Amino acid sequence: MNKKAQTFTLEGVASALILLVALYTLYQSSLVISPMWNEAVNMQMKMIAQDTLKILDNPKKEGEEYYLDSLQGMITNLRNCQLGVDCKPNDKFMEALEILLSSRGFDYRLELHWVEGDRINSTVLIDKKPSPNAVAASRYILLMKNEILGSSFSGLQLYDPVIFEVRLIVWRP
Amino acid sequence: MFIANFLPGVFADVRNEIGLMHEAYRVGVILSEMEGYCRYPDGNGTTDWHDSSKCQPGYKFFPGLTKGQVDYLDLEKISAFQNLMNDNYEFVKTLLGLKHPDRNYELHVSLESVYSTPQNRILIRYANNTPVLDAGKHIPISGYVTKYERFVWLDPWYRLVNVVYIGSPQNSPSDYHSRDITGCGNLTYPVSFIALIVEGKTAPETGAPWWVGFCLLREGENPSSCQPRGGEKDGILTVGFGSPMKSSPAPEEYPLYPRQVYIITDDVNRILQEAEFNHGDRVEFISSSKNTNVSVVCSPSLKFIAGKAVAKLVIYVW
Repeated sequence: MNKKAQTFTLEGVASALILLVALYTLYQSSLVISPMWNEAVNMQMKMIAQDTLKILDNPKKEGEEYYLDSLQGMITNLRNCQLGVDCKPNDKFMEALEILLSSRGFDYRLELHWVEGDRINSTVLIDKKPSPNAVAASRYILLMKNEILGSSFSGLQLYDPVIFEVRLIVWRP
Repeated sequence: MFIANFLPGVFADVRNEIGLMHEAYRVGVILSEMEGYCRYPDGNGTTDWHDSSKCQPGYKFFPGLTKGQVDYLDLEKISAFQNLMNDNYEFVKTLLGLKHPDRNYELHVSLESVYSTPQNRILIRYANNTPVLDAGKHIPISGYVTKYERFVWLDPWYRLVNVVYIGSPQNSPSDYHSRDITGCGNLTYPVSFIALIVEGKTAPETGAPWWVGFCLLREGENPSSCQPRGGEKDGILTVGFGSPMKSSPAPEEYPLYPRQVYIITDDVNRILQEAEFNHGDRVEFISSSKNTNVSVVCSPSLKFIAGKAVAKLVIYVW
């Protein structure tokens, strides 16, 4: 029997075992970024974004007005500003987003889309640049034309009722 | 190359938390998006699985917590789910798919304030201070534990707050301290919900002045009364800091009207912020009033957003 060959074989088996143990330890002690894992994290963010829009969507009124921190109240109170230039949601709405998203470490972008004449128009209300792992959620809000009189939408060529798509894009910075 | 690509996939299955995340997600969807059901032998059924008069023992049922709309939770169903978890935890796990022959997960479900964090859990509580939902096994402090959260809103929310009279029954000022008011004794900054309900004057026929003072304090501060700064202000509700009330941070004033609800949460938080309160600092108050029927409503955990009583449904699986 060739002792040298036997030694080489044993050495090969031993090194393979060491390599296997090292790989196993490596994958156990560090995060495996598998597609499954990404999907799960994104799903939590997506749920948070969708839940946020559901919470903020309240067609009920407080007296004669929509709640300022509802999606309806936010849209009808876009006043004295130019769409796409300096229109920002009111402070109460921003505070709600702060509680639901910012305080939990999320960053966000808010867009509004609607049909104007024969085309779809849009404006960015909170303009931040999403990261590649961002997720988006949408909610459709229906308002009568007379409810947006005096807002920055009056004077536009809109159908009655007006359907707004509120698009919330959320990511972890 | 094939082996290098293949190996992470093999070991990823071994990593528990990846599988756990999906289990927690599924439980979150079941509880916050489904009404639940109770099915009779004849094939008919009801969504009132929590109502023993409609869903008798022995019938097949499945627990969901909504009132028919995603994220809109029913306090009655939540209460029934809490009891079910207390009485038959293993059965609930089976219903929710967390217990089967090859796997057995543990579960904890709670309803928490939107301000709640893992380090400082703030449970949503009934007016009598018992938690609305805090059920399942104790959350382990180490190991693979997955947390999943859903924003929800609760109905009927008035069961979660106490309404306590703090008015002056006679035509002379009366003081009330938050320490003596159930539901208001454990407020922290930022305050979730505080409101005053003004019924009207105690003795409207006398024409005597009426006013309400509401003074915010640091925990343990020894207060005197809370007369509005600058003396009696007829027909005015004043919210300010310190006892006696200080001029800085600037107090907030509201004209008093009968049968009016004053939700003062935002102004209280503004004053506390200017008084340099830190997140989680205890908040106390003393109120004084004269010739006014007024009550205070507060909750240390409930937050109203867009007119809804919002909370977090938090699911832990391990």
